[in-house]
Amino acid sequence: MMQIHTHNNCNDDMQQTVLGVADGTIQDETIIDEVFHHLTECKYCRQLYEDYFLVVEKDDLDIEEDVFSFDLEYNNNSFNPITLHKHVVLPQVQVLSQPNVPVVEIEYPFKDSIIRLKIIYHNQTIDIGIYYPKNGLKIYLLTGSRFDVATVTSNMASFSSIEPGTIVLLVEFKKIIKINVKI
Amino acid sequence: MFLAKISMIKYCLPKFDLLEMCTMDDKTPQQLLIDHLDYIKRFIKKINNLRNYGLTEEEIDDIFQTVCEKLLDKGFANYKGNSKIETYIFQIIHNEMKTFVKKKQKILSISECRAHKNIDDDNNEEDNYSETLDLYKNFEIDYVDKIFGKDIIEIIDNTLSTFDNKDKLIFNWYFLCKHSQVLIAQMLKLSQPTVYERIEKIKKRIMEAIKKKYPEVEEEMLS
Repeated sequence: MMQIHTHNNCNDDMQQTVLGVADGTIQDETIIDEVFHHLTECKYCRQLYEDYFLVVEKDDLDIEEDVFSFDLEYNNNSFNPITLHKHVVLPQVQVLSQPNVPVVEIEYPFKDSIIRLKIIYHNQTIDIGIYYPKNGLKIYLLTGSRFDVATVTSNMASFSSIEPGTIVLLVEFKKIIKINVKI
Repeated sequence: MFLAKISMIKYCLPKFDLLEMCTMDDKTPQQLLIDHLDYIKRFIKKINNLRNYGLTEEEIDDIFQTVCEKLLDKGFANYKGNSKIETYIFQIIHNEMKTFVKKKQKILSISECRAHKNIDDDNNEEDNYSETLDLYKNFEIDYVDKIFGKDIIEIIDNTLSTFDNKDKLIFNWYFLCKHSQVLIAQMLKLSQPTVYERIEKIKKRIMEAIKKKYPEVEEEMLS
């Protein structure tokens, strides 16, 4: 009969092979047969394999989008928002007291309050000022070459000299703000 | 606690030398993570729905954080290319969720565990045929369950042991998990008509094995 407990020989490599058969990366019939044999013996992998088809292949569940994505383009010494998001309360382009500094200020609703982000162009790089009424909030910065963290103190935090491109801010490592800056 | 871990990763970055550790298409682990952040969040929620884990938003966020942490740590470095990168991330999400749910179950009291029977439990992995395999419907032998239940299950077990791997999996996925023939066909890289034919053969072989030991079953069915 089918074995019902996790197979002793099951390991990370085997799980990767099982999923390689599932997504069609592995085409070798011998390996596929070995995987099917393993599935009869390992309940863990059998469920992993099933879940792949139920979740990944049938990508039709209605899940609310969690990512706030915002596209900006720097042009003629100013930022132009390309796309807006429904959670942006009052997107607007502002110029600070310094007339030649392009700035975009956006407001992001978070925990019954608002996180205000000030995105500033500065010498081919980006500075981001973060304003939040409660101290202690941790914001993580993730770019293709940088992983950093800032904590809100005195109601503000900041990141400086960020390379343009895709900039991700993870609020408490839970809420995702993705800013694409094209220069 | 999770935030502390992430902070540790940040300060350990030079040790991992992430910038040098390019994995796919010369992308850094950070870039790969950025590319798949939406995917990770989405699939945690999907598996939560699929398996009725009943995780709260806060717990989903915690899992999201742990998955990101693992991917940045050594996750992407351990990717061997046996599957698509998204599938590999799915594996990490899946494993992390199972671990999380197991830990959560340990914390729950015995009475609470009883109230959460829908939650998958690897510690109780008995495939209970008498509960999951509806003999009445699938084999149309109303009376056997009253008298011969256990014996019938033994006959099915013995018959299953003679099946090839695909038929064993079809038996499990069709009769126990109640998956559709179309889904099973996708999983086994077969056509749906082939799966249908195999199901009919499985039924026939099991019925023959039952009738061989209990000829009166056929008489009962005919009557």
